[in-house]
Amino acid sequence: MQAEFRQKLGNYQAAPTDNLWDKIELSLDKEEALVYKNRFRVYSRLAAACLLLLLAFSAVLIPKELRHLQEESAEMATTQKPAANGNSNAPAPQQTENMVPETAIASSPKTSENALLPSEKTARAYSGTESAETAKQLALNTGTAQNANAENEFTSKNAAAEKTVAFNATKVRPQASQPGNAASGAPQNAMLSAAKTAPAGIPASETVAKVTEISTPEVTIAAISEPINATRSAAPETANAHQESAAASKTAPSPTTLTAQHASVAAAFQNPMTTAEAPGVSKASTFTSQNHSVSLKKAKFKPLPFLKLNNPELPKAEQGKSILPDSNLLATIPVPENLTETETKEKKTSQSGKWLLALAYSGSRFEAGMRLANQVVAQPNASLISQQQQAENIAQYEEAIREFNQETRPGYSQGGALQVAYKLTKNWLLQSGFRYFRNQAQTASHYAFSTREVTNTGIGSGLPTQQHAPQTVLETVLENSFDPDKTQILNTPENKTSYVFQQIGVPVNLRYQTNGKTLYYFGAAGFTMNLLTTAAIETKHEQTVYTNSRTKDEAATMSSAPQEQAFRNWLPAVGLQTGVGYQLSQHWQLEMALEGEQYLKPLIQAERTAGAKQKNPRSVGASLKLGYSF
Amino acid sequence: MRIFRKKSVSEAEMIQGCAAGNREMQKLLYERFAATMKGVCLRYSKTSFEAEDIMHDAFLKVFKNIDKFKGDCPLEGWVRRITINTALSHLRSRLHKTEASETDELVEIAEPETAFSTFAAEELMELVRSLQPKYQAVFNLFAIEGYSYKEISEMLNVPEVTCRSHYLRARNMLREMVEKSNKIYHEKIS
Repeated sequence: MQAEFRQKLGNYQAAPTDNLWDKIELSLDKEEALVYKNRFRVYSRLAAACLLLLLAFSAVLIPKELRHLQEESAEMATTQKPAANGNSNAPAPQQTENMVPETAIASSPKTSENALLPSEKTARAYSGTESAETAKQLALNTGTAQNANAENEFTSKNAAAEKTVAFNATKVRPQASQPGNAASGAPQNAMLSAAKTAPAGIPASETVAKVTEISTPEVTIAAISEPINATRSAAPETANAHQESAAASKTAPSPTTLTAQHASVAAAFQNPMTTAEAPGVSKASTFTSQNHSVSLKKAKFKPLPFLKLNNPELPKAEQGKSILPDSNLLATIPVPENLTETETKEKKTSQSGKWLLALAYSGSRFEAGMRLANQVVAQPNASLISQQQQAENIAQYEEAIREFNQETRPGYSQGGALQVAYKLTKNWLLQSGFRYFRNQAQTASHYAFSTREVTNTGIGSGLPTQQHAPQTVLETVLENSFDPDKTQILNTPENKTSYVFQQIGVPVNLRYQTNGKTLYYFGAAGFTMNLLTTAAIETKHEQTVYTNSRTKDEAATMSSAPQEQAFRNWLPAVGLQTGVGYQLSQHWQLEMALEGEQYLKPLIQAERTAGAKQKNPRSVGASLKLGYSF
Repeated sequence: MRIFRKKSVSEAEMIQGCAAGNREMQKLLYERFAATMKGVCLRYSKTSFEAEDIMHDAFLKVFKNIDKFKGDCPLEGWVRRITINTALSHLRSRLHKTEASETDELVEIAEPETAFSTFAAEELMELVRSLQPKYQAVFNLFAIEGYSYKEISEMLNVPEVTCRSHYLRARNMLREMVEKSNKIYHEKIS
């Protein structure tokens, strides 16, 4: 018997169907595409991760202060307006408050040549500071370019110190307006600047004296540019400088010098970053201290950081002396009236937008990823004729399954969400909330399955007495109700089957958004835990209208293997979102976003009945969101 | 006028081409072994559709792993082995669908030899395909492919004694089926 079978069946050959090679070729193409797709997916994820990292680092590494200063500088530059020129007549103190030279640092060739301290004293004054080398270079090369370069060397590190210097200079100004102390002939600004540059080890008064000896009225301008470079030095020097400046200011010379002094003080007052950003403008300035006439412009003084005076390092530097000038001097300090208001407003603004409550509507294409496989075989004990029939039924069943796998398309899915976001930093937000989604997929099918129920007792036993409503292939597979002997396969005209999956979820997203005032852009990545509440399969036949809507619970009870639930309850997913937002008002904002979600587990849980080649669902869509920040 | 002749491709070239993903070479390999493998698949399946499904998966595996073919055995044997393994994995996925497990006791019944020689290959094929999957697999592997019980037990991951039992049951079933069909045939004649 064995030999008989081996002889006849060992080399048995049968011609495969014509389209088998086409199918194999298609599968090979798909596999190749999948390889490229996977590779692309890996690269795209890497790119996204890099982008997120870059954004995160940029948010952390760029100091807030620098950004703040840049904003201030930009604002300052835009708010400067041309005003009446100042001349040798000293303006009234109130006017002087708002008057600054056209450029913060006048660096016209003449001025620079004379103003730069040529001796090593300047270098000495710089010694012990971070910019010692720059100072030396400045001292040796008295050209204009150095001035500009020195200004350009400013970084955000010395921005705070500059303000302190500027503040000190401001305090000096009213005192300088006292006439009759012009005996020294050197402008007090020079002294002021020199004092500022004095290192800790050298008494400031000495420096001032030396500077005074060699200074000319033209020194005024350069003298300001230098100390700005020197402001990298620690606070003690600044504090010393302040005192010395105050002292020096008492030697304020003639009214003409006074004007220059005002200009220089105001120049020191102005944020040098502005000048550093536009050195060309600086050089083209009309500021000429030789004639003691200064072209002045109105400028809006930015609020000064008075907190600088509260720097804990200052009292130490004073070595027991008070860091504040006398009360008269303080009384004359011009303080912008809106200073505290502005600060308070900023504080309020930063605090008011911490929370965001939003309502969102989303529309998307949901790919369910359901893949079915035949698990049914013919019953071997049946007769040969019955077996033939069974084989035909199974073949049609397999064809229906193949049709389902190929023809199931994503349907339009929609959902809503209530979101709450908390602003972690200026740009980063943590989002969460609650969402509801009604996902949908569709199949154009040509098959329906009907199972005859047979009564086994009483009259008419063995006759078909009841017929179930036709089932879709998905229902038949999930309920494992296909019997090759009993199930009737109905070849129907094309009818659409909808699979509706309703789910609720809780997303947690980390979001980055830009700082635009009206328009801003954002990107978010996060995780969502979804709970499938309902899964329904709805069909509508062209001729006989019927609806099969069966929830997963019903399906589970009908299933021959009730221990295995048809659909998965918990569906974790990861998502990406990017979009643009529009600030409607102070509190209201409207956002539009593109979003994609990849589920981490397949929808069908009953892999034993449906097949193990399930895919994870995914969706791509857009959303519209109205938010309220408070 | 130039006459184009189909260039004969050696087996090595074909393997090399398939490994490089050359679609023409892959088709050539398919055409060379398709009929034989369809015969193998038919023996392990219930329907022609299923046989083609197995064949489809088997050829995909062949093309995917052909770079691992070292040439130490004939290519046909290697392809056949992959096809059989694929068929067995299909069979395993169906096994849980079959009826409750039967006892693995040996059922050796001495019965007179049934004459299978009168049956054509197609008829024998139908008989084999009508067997339950587990018997079908063991019968195919033992009686037709020539594997030993030990090898079959390793391939199917079942005890050797179970394989033996399944083979004997398959043989008895085949005999019964032949006798039944003979009986029907004689009744019709009479």
